Amino acid sequence: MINAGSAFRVALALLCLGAVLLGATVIWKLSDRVYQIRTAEQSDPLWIASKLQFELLNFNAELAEYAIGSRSAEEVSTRFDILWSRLGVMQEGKIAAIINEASVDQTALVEFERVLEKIDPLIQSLPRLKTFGTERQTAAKAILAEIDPYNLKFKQLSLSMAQERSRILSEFRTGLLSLSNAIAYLGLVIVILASIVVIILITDLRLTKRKSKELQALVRAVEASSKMKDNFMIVVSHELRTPLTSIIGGISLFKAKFSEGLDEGANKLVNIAHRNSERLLGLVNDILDAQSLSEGKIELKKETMDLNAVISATVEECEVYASELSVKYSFANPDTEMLVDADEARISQVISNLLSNAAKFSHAGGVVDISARQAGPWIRVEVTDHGTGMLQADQANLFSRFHQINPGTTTARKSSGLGLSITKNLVEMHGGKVGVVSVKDQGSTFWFTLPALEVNGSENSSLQDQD
Amino acid sequence: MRDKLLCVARQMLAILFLALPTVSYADGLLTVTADGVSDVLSLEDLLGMSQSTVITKNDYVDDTTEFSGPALKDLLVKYDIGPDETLTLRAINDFSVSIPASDAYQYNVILALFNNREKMTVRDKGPIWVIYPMSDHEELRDDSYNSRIIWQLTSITAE
Repeated sequence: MINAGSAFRVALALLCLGAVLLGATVIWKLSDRVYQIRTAEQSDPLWIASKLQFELLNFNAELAEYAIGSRSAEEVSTRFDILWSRLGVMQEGKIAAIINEASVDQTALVEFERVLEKIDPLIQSLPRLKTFGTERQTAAKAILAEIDPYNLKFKQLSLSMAQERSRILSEFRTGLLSLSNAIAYLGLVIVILASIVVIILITDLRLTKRKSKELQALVRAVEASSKMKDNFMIVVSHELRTPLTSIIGGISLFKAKFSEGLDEGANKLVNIAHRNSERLLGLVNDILDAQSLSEGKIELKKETMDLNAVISATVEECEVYASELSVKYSFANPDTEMLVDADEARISQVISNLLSNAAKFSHAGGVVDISARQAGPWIRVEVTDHGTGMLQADQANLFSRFHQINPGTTTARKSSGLGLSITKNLVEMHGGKVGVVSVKDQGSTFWFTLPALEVNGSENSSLQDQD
Repeated sequence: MRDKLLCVARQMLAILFLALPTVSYADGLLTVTADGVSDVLSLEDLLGMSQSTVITKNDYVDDTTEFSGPALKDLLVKYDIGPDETLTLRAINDFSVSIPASDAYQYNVILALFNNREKMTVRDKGPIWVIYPMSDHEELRDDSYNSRIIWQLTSITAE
């Protein structure tokens, strides 16, 4: 198939080349032929020859009129000069070349020149004074006798010139005929080429139509599946989250009202129900967030805020969860404002994600250190745990969706695997970066950076890339 | 004696009678007619104008030739003939050709009197040969300009 296609292409290219060459040859030949057309009668050898004959006759007539006294010797002399000049025309330049080319007998011309030279003194000494007389007749007769044979000779010369002209014309006609044949071939080649191009175009058009139909079907299928997914997400959002909220609310109320009246076993069960409901809600929220982020549906509500205050508040919120795991947070609040332009809820979500992760991966009784500092145009937040840590290999896909490392055997500590992916997306939406530094069995440091509102040049600005 | 004198006088008259038109013909080389008014120019008149040289080849010479004579344009300007007019050039044997006067304004067309510095006679296409600078302009080498380089020119008529 490929061989056939390339052979076809080569054939087509050769055909095109042939057509171009043929066209160029035809045009070149045509211009050559057109140049051969003689547009001026002066260049026509027949015209030149007949002119010589004509002037010879004129001179004869002039001499005759001179003999009877109605022309002057000067007029005869002028006629003689004109006649001589006509001979000159035939012996110089292009006409001489044409006569040479044609196999025309030129002896008559050579001889005639000698005759002219011979009768020249006779012409110059023509009796001028007497207007009528035998002297004139005798002189005219002598001259006429010399030139008389050339009347016939020039007639023959004219005839051979006419023949030469016919030969040139027939040659020209043959040339034109071959040219018209070449043009016909060229036309044929052009028609073939044009048909091939049309066929290719039609085939191409059909192919494109079919492809575009397939693409349209694909687009419709994709649209349908996307709509289905959207519908599913709406279902998850409303049909799952709403009852969950009610369940959690109900359990909370139940705990507040009746926990004191229940025995230890019942309380434990209620707590398990409460914790798992919270986890389920967190999972549903994570899935919704991840979905929105991947579709770019989340809009940040940016405002100027103090990052230290946000960290402090988030640490406080997470302390309850950490205390359940017997982990403590230690945030060295620098007591200076670190202003950033960010969505407070989202940044809080990022910090909360990192804090809960750090707690999950810490050993019981461990401490999670939180620090925030500004370096040049960047504010860098670090969350360091002293827990299990990770192998280098495990760090690679840490921030991709549904990537999980299970910290322990208890299902309560299991994560959705979406947290870090959401964190990364949110930080990057704020123009920052996230990263991790971890050593197996020694702990991990997760960090993120945000662009600071006020540039602080005290430290190096390459903090951004310390990953 | 008296007869002799009469005879001489008759002969003188005959000479005058014959010679007059001949002399005037020899003197008047070129007749220029513009707006119906004719003027006859002699060789001296033409030589008195500023001379121009054209080195060119044409179909009627063997090699590239140096032609010189007054520029046709100067003559047209002298007689107030504009480039829009048509000139009828007539030769000694009554052959005539019409050319647009614009040719003279566009190209250095001359009324050649000399061919390679030799004065042209009627025998070698003189005394006046209209020469186009064909070697200098590709377009003038077209066959149609061959009819315009008329030789043995005797008159120019503007219309």
